[in-house]
Amino acid sequence: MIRYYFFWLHSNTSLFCSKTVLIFSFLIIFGTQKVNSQEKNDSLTKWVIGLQGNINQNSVIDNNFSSLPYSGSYLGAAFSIDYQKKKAIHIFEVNYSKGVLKTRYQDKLTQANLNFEYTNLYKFGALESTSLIKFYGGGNFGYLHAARKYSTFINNNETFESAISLGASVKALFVPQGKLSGFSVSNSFSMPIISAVGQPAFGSELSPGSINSEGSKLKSTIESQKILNISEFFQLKNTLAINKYFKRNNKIALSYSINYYHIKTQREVKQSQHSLGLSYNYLF
Amino acid sequence: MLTIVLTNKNRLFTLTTIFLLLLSGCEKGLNLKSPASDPVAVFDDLWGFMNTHYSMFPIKNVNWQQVYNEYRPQVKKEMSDADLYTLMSSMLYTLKDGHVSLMTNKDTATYIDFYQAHPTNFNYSNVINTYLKNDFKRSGPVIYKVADEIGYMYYPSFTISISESELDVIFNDFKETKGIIVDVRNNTGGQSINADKLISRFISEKKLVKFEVTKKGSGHNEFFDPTPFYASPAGVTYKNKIALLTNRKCFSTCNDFALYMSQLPNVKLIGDQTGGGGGNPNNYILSNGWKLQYSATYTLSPSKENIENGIKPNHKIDITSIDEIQGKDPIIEKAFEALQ
Repeated sequence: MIRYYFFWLHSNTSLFCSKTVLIFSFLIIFGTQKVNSQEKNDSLTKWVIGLQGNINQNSVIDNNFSSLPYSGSYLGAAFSIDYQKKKAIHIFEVNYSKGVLKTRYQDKLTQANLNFEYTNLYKFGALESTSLIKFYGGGNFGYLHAARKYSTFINNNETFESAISLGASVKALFVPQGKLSGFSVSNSFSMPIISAVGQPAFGSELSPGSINSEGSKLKSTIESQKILNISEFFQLKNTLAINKYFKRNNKIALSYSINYYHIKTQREVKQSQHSLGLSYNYLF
Repeated sequence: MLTIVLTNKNRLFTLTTIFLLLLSGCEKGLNLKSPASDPVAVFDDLWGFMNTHYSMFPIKNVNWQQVYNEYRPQVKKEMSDADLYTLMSSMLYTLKDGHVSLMTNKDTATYIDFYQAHPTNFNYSNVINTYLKNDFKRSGPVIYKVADEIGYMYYPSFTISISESELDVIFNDFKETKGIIVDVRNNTGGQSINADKLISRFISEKKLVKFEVTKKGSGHNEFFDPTPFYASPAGVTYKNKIALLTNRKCFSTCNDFALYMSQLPNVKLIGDQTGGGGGNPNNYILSNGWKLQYSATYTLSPSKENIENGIKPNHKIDITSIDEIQGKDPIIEKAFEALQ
């Protein structure tokens, strides 16, 4: 199986070169089958609080303003709390980033992203499983808010999209032993199934000056809220993390995340965010 | 070489893991790509965006599909940027809208016949030399003067911001006048907030001044219900007679300001009809980086009349070329007469 996997990767150069696949392949090669002591610790009741700094590569196309993508890199921060009890894991995570994006012709916009997510995962298999790889599945509740201000545009206020979603999540956790004892690698994937999306109404970001419009902005936003299914609000979130435990209660993690979404309303918006994060976690 | 023994039970897990890994490897597929930017794609981008976002189709009486049928066959894959720019500008001129522009990093094409095809009706030098006698005050962007119990103020462009304190200075000086002339000729608009600040000096209570109509969807006739807008008094206000001087170059925000003023009982509009431009413009970036400006809303008066074609004056006066040579401004003179 593994040989076949590597043969297949070799014949797909771009995938083989992908950082994700390389990292995982490396760990599979040097890992062993036995479960180490750290994995056993994973089964106990525990709290983990994490702080993360990340650098994000963002691209966005909001068809109401541009047919060209705006792209750029900027910093962000995340805070997470994990609670694990027996086979269940509860994960709360908040992530915020803000920065400037540009078209290739240097038109600018300032964008802020706020993501909140609660994920409830359940471990498949026995609690004290001896498997190398553990699998979890469950659901998640997500909230995202992206706000954009087109600085070179006349008359328009900040535009945004907000979405709350219910979706499915899966996670794989690989805990090697031997030379790589103390490391673990996890991959988490989630996808919303049903979402409520709020955007400004068609063209309603326009600034009419200071004259009182009696709450029209709120009204137009409410009128543009919709419940969307998976084909109308399509989102993929995947996070690959390499974790290193040290000094018993401490963990650092290097993670790579992709967050892509496509809102297929009259206000069509596509956004992709690649994040590279470094986090410190404390285990209680 | 690579030997990891997996149990049958773990095979399924391994396959799933590989799937997740491959998904992580798909990041390139999730990057957003720039759309095509050849002449045909750019033309279609422009026409399509205007088709869904331009707010003035119900007022302009232009068959946009017919415009496409006329211009689209003229677009060739190999045509130069200059030729494409000329062609697309010509297509946009059919809308006869001063808020519609096509901008490259070198050129801007805007419809200007809303004032170019009419008498100028303003000569700044004549106003300064003949009527202000080169003796006036300045507060922010406004020049003003008080003489013989008549005040005069000229606001050249609403693109230049004015503060409340600058307005207080002017209207404190106007306190003892029996009437004032507010000159907004050649003011081609700017930020609405400046017009909002100015109108707040001429009203004594909250007043409905306009309705703004925003697109609700991509159809030519898809609009939200008109949204009412109100102005409220602020700072030192003025209640005596007012003559508002306008010409065809009073456009966009200036057009809105003329609308607000035209509803006040103590105000007479003198000069030429305003140039229109009732509605807020916004921008869109085409796939080759050119920037489009387009009308994204339209404006209605409190009695729900569309003001896209301008506000008519109470007294229509033109300045002839002979008047100009003689240093005269019959529009100001009519205003003096009206304020007596």
